[in-house]
Amino acid sequence: MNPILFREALDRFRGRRAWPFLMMWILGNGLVVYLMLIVATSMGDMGLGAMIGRSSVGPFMFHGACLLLLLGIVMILPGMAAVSIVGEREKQTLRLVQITPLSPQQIVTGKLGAALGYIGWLVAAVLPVLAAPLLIGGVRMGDVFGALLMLGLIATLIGAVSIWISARSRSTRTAVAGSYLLTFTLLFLTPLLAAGEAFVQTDQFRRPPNTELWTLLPNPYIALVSAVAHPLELDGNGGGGTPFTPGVEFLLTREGTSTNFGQGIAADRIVEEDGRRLVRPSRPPLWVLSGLIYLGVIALAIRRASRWVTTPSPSEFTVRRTR
Amino acid sequence: MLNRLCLATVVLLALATPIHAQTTQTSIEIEATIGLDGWIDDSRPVPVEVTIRSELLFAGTLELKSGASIVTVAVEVPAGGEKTYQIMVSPTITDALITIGLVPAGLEESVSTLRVQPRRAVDSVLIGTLGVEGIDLPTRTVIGEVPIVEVPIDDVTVGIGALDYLVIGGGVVVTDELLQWVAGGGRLVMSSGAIAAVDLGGGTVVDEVNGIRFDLGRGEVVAVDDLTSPDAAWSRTLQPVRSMASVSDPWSSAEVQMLRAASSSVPGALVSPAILIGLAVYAAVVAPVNLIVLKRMQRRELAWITVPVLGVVTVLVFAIVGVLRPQPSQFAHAALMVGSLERAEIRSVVVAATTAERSHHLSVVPSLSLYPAATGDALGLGVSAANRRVMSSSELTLEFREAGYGTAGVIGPAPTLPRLSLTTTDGVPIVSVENVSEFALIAYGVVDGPFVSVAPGGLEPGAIGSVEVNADNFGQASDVVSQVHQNQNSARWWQVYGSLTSAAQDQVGDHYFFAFIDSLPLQVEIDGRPQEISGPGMIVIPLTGTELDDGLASPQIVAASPDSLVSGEGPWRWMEGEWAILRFEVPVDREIELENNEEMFGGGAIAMEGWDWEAASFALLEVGEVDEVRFVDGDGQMLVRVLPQGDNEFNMMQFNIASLNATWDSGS
Repeated sequence: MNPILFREALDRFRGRRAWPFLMMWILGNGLVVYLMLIVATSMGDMGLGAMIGRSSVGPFMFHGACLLLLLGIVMILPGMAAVSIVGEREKQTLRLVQITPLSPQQIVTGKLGAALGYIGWLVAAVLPVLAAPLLIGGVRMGDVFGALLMLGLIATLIGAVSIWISARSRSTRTAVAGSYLLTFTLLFLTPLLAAGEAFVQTDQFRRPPNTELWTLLPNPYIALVSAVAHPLELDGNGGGGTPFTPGVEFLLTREGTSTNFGQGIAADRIVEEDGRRLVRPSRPPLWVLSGLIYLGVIALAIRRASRWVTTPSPSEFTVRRTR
Repeated sequence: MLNRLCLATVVLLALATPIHAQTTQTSIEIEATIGLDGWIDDSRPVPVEVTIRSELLFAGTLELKSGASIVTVAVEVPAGGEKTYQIMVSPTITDALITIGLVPAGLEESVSTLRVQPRRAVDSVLIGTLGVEGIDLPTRTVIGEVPIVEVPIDDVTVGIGALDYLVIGGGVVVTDELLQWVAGGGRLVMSSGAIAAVDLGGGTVVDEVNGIRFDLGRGEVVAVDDLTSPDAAWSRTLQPVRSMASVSDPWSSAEVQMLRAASSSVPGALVSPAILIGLAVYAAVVAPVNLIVLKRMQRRELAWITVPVLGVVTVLVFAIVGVLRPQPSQFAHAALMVGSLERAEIRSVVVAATTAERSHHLSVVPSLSLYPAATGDALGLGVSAANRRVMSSSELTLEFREAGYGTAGVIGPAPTLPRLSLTTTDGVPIVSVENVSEFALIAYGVVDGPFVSVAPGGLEPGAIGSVEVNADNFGQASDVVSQVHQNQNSARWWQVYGSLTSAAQDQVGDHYFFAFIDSLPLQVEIDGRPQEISGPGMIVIPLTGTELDDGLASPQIVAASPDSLVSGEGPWRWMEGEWAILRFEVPVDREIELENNEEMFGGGAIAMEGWDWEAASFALLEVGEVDEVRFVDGDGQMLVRVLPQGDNEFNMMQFNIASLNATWDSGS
């Protein structure tokens, strides 16, 4: 086991705030998911009644829980990862770590592993909350694996980038602010950039886009929706609306189709597979493109961070003799 | 040697497979007819007749697809033979193009497909002809110039519900089914000579001036001297009759409304405070209790293991105890029982909901028919609906490929319904009700156009009650009952009985007796086990406006300008277009006044023209007293064409037919 990861794991629960935070985390998530259950049930009742609406409760809650986890990652992880290296530097313990036999990559991956491990542990703590949609029904295991895989990738991306910022920062404050700024840019600024790109691409929204909106590819929300909703299905997306509906509608538009009222889908774009009506893809899945971007950025961030924590050359330890 | 043999076998198999597929493709033919030569009746299950001819033995599945609705039937056709399969499907399945395909056993792809487009006589008059030679029908009606479509038929047992008129020759036997169709609103035209041989039972002669006409239920039998006479003879007989109220969105269809009623009748049990309590207990165990234990052990780092383990254990406890797990499969139904001249009919929609992939086999007693009912895909709902495999006319399998719902329609003779009698006291119509049925009626009343009269309480089996018909309450039956009784849970009441009321409106028109039943049992077999599904029910028995004679008649839109749009439900109807023809049913021996309540729901400035029966043309008609001699025909029919003032068109919401009424002195 990576010694950095091991040390971090031992220290994680020594603080006074760890346990109250855990309790608040569980209760907060529980309350939000319970509210989602109420909203989903009411929405189901309004459509074709409680019994049929029940089929859309599971997907609604699952999509909501995925979004909740994404927000959890975005809110917690940058704050934790950003202090990991710069914190050692401020406590003047980084030099001590650097002169150990650990390679710079081990130091960086150890710090990253510790941050991701804690996030994973927090997710495990709210398993009963997240399992609700599975117990209610309407959620496929494939969707769950797709969501967990993409959330893991997003967490690794945010963690790696935050550690890179941490490695090059001189103060904790700068590192934390920089990490959150970058994460929020990824989540909230990319849709605005994409809207601008679409505005130019579609001649001020007068015609449908015919090329990829590249600025939206790194967006974690769209990547997550794509991973869960792939392959794009015409039915079974959770009834009248879920937190994923805007994303699904974007993905359908990206494929040149739409399920909006009054907009039909050409028969040659519908494929039947195992009794499900799927949209025949005309482009590579968005989650694959996003995943490749994430992997590239993760590798780059770890590499760059490792250079910042490289053991100083002996010349740095040379003491100049002065008279 | 062995290698060569293997190679030869592989080559032979590889060659044989495409040859077989090709042969199969070229040797099978399918032919399909939907409804009556493609014309369908929106208010009833639609018959689909598929004939399969095959040169080779064919065993496989016949698939009917429309949108996400998939209906399958197992088929087997002998070599060189042909077989015809008749399947009843929901009228909502015919909203789009239907693809009919044949899938051989063991394969997934269809070897032969056919696409059929059902037709609806939305803005035309559909006339069936049977056993008449040399008939020369006009191309348009004189009133409203509505296009006339002639459909020659050779069988009155299939799909005649789609017809507005049926013209039959002297050699055609008038069966009970045919009279039943007339009682439900059909118009039968036959020669005067042949009509004498027909037992019209409760039919009454209403007009002897323009040929003999018999009222029978909501329809009529018209006797014409010579069926083969030239156009002019038909101009009085054939009129636009279709109530354009049924031309609406899929949400308004009777089946979808019954589906909604059935689904809403089961209270949602998912939201429970037990979930919150369970989570609070879990949070307390995982955080403080866990901390105290680990602190005492001086092994806080073990939280990395204890917290996930406690999470998994709690999930298992939740699953076993059932805090969040709904029943794996749940069934409900809602029924409409429609009384008629001689026999009553029950129409029910059964809904099944499951939490995972599975299938359920449903069957009903042979006197009832089971068919694939409406699903929500026509409504743009993204909830997964089960495929339906039709086994016979009383057996069906719901195949769920994941959590979702499945539907089945039930149709057949209804049990005994309450008996009605109509009296008038001091000019006020009173409907007496003897509840000879086996059901307790939780509420009952009478719908008279836009007004609803409700009895003060319920009616137990065997009890006698009465409803005083008045014009005190305006609205839908369910709403007025809710207001009068003031003890109904409004949200659920509206979803269950409001939906049933909308479904009833589509079936019986604007004048009817109604009663609500809280728990109507339906005997079915589910997966071979007899079960009783309980659900809400509504009884409707049609009445005619003139029977009630309460001094007020509200109109129905029977024709509109080309490309018009009519929408709305209950007493509210809105239209968009250049003009509309409204029909009023009024008594023939009273002074009639026309009222236009312009304040009502945005009723704008309109011009009115009445059909002058003597001059056979439209003439200006003012609000106020109506010249009955010119504008009311022998059977109490008054046709009014409404147009917007000036050169405008009606836009949606600008014209509400409930604002226009014909009134007369009923003596009350």
